[in-house]
Amino acid sequence: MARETGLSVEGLNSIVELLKSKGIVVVEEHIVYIGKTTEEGLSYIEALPEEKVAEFVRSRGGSTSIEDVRSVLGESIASIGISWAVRRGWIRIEKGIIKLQSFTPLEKHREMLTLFSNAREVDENIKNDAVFQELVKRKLINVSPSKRRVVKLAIPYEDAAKLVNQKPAASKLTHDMLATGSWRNFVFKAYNLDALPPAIYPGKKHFFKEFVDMIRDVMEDLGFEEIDDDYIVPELWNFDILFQAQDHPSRDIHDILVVEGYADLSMFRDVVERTRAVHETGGSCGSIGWRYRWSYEKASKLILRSHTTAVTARHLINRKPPARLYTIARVFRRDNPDPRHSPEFTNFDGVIMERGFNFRKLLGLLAQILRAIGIEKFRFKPAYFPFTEPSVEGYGYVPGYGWIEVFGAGMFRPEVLEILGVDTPVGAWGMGVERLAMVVYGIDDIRLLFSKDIEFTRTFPYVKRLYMR
Amino acid sequence: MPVVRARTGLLMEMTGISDIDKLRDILFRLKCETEIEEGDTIAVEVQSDRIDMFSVEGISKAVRMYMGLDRYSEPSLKSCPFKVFVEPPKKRPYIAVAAVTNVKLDEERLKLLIEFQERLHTTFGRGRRKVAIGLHDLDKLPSTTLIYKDVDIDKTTMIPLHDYREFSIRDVLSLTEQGRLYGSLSLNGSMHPAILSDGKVISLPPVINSDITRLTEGSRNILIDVTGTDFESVNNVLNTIIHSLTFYGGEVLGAVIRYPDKEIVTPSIRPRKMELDLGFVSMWLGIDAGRDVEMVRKALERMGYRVDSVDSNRIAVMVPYYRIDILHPVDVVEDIAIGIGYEELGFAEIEPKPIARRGVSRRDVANIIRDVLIGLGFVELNTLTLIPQQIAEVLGLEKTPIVVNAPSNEINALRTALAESIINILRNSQYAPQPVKVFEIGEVVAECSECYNRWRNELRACWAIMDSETRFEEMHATLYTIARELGLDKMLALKPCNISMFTKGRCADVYIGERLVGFLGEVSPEKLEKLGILYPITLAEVSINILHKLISR
Repeated sequence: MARETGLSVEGLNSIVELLKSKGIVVVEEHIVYIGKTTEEGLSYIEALPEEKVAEFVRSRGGSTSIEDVRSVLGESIASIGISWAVRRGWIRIEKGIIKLQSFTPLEKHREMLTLFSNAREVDENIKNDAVFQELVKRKLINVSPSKRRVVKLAIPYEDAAKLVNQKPAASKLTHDMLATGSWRNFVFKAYNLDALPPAIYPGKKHFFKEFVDMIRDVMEDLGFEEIDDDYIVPELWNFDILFQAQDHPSRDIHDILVVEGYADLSMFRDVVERTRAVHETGGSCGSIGWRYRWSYEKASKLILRSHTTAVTARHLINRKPPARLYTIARVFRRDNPDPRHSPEFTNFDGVIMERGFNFRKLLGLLAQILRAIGIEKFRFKPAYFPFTEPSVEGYGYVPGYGWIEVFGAGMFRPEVLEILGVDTPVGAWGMGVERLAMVVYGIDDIRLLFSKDIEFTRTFPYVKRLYMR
Repeated sequence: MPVVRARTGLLMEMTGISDIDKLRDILFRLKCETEIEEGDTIAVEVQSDRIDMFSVEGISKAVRMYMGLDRYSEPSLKSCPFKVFVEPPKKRPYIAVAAVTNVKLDEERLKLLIEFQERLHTTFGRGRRKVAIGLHDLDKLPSTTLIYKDVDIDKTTMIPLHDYREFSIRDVLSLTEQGRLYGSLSLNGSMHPAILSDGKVISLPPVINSDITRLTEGSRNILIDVTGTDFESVNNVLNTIIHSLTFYGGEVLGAVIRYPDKEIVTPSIRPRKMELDLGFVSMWLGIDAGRDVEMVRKALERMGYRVDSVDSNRIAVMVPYYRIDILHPVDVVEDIAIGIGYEELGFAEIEPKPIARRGVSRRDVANIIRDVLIGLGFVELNTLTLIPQQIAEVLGLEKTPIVVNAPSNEINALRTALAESIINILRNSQYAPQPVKVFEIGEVVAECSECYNRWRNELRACWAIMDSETRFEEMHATLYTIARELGLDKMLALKPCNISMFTKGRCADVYIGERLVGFLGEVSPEKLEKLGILYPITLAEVSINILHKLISR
């Protein structure tokens, strides 16, 4: 094959291996015997030694001495030739004189030597031939075993012909191929459909922020306007204007996060004075107040807000009705992160201040909000918050999970209204957004909402957004 | 919220309700969540305003009245056999004393009574600092004349509860567990408050009682002392305990408390009269209280009020002596709502009011940036504003607000740039397949010397790429695209920056016209190395507050 194709044996080997791996050819291996006339054999191609001896004796008239043969034909030819001529019965030796009896030229021997003058395979007939065997025995032909590889087509000849006529393969179409038209010279490789594709990720909104946006849409449909405020606020906004006594346990340093320093409350003098009066004596709203000495310094202390009622209430200060306000933003608590706690999470708070607003309307509004965010089944439980009266907790039923406390709500207390400088009833509510989102999305660790793990966020399926519906 | 645990059977027996679902439903209507726990225990989560329901007796009484099984009745204050002479202790000047007879104690109820006492201590009593309670077996009291004063801890002795040996007060404070926990609350130098009877210390408020008057399951008549730092609270807690102990129908014995400047009688168990304007009730709840005055009266009675008189405009009620949470008529209004039932009040939905949208809101600007970045393949993050102060220090960001009482160093500062949160996240995401392309729209807290509260929130957007290689151009291209989508590309200009988190010469200050709106660049290898980040990061950050102002203008 190397000869025919002009390829090197090495090159041919690798091509054969490739074809074999693709099932186009099979390779068979045999042991064969190679015969080759030896140097000695080659020197006998004109005549074997016994022939030379017989011819010589004939040329001497049919009889001559051994010495004569030796001196003319040489020692080596003479001794081999005389020995084989005697064995063949061509001559007889009597008292040093050789006498020719008969002579048949060894043409077959010489043909055989010629045949194997170039190494060639010994076929079965020759192997059993007596002449050949004699020549091998006389070491005039050398026989050695050898491996032979035979390449055979494993596919029908027609298919092989098709393959041979095929174009080169390409893995992709390029601009160049189109521009030059060279795409015609290529076939495009088939894809391995079992292989996994490379990992790619879409640009994506964060699922929790989408949940927050869903609530925003609900609120804006109801006519509520979004408001905000700073994270770092004086305790005044977070507690005092909500009529939370200054020694109330929720104001404990173990529960809130504190920033160094104090706010300058001088520009809020009217609120501050109303706050003091209501805390100390109940002010003029008919309350008995907390009956203690209210501390301006404590109210000035800077903290990280712990709920966003601090935001909605502050926005009502000295405001005239009507107002529908909401905020959905971060709040802070002194908690170490664990599956159920985060030092920072999202509050959704709202207030509604309208003439004729009352507790029944608040319950109605809460029901509207719950239904709009997908909670069809809910219960209202009386509750306690320092700044609302009546107070209510809303429990929602999430299919596949069960009952979950969704929000706290109520009518701002008259004490709070007096502090805020508001003379219309105000309904208010607040809820932690993460807990509900976790239940809806089936996430059991709040820390996963704050994406320390980028894989979790970017592989969170879009379809889960629909679970609320 | 405090939780009262009791044997379900006991609560059923005391409330007279044997249907557990019904019992739980009534408790739900009375602000209490319940859970049935192992071992036939019911856990009742009570609300912190109703300290009269911190005991099994108080809960039972409220349930019985709600069901109409009981009506509110004042216990009778038969006599005042106790005289208390007060030399006000420096750090704990107030005391209130009373006794209740014929209390039905047994092993189970004694345990519940002690739990009730502890519940009051930890919540309303602020860990005994504000109010502490001593309960005694009245029949073991040496004398009905008591003295409340500071005593010298080295010259006074007592037998602490559950002991038989006489110790100096100093030893009681240092050797007993209660002494170690509460011994410092009212100690004033070497003086500590004590209650003495016939010269013997019967109580060392707020630490421990004497063993002399130890309460046992056989005790029938109980003496209560309440001491504290606030006059009102001390008297309120005494009333709460009397309310619980008179559940069994006993009588109340009072005390004359003689302060240096005045003399008062405890307990003060006369109900307070409160007048409710029916118009106010109607306005607040959204019902017609004048028309449905019978419904209102019934609601009030099942909530434990005695209705004194009713006319067309007002209703006068007697507020029970133990309802210390009633500060204002509105608190009675809530009880009317609870008495009726929130669900029974009915809901009135509000009219949706479409908002007229004017101009471009800050949220609009944020959403444009968000959409562009998502289109460019960035993934949105939701990170904490709280960061480790270490990140700010390494990145060289100054004027960072520090949380002085942070529970851990991972959350002891607030970010002044979103880049801090994002780099912190990227540091944790080096294992993830790259490129990591992320962004966040969120608040940062910046110093504001002219602000009343010294720190101001600012809404920003930050986007970043972490990959085996990433360069300035990628951020520049993204920024340019955002500027174009906001209609600001013609005014966009980059100027050399001097921000220490970036490699010199490979960062820029971002200007829109004359306004500095942000920055972008390649995080420097020094910073990355310090943070243990092995992949290049480029990022950009812009202020949405400022962009919004520019666009609105």
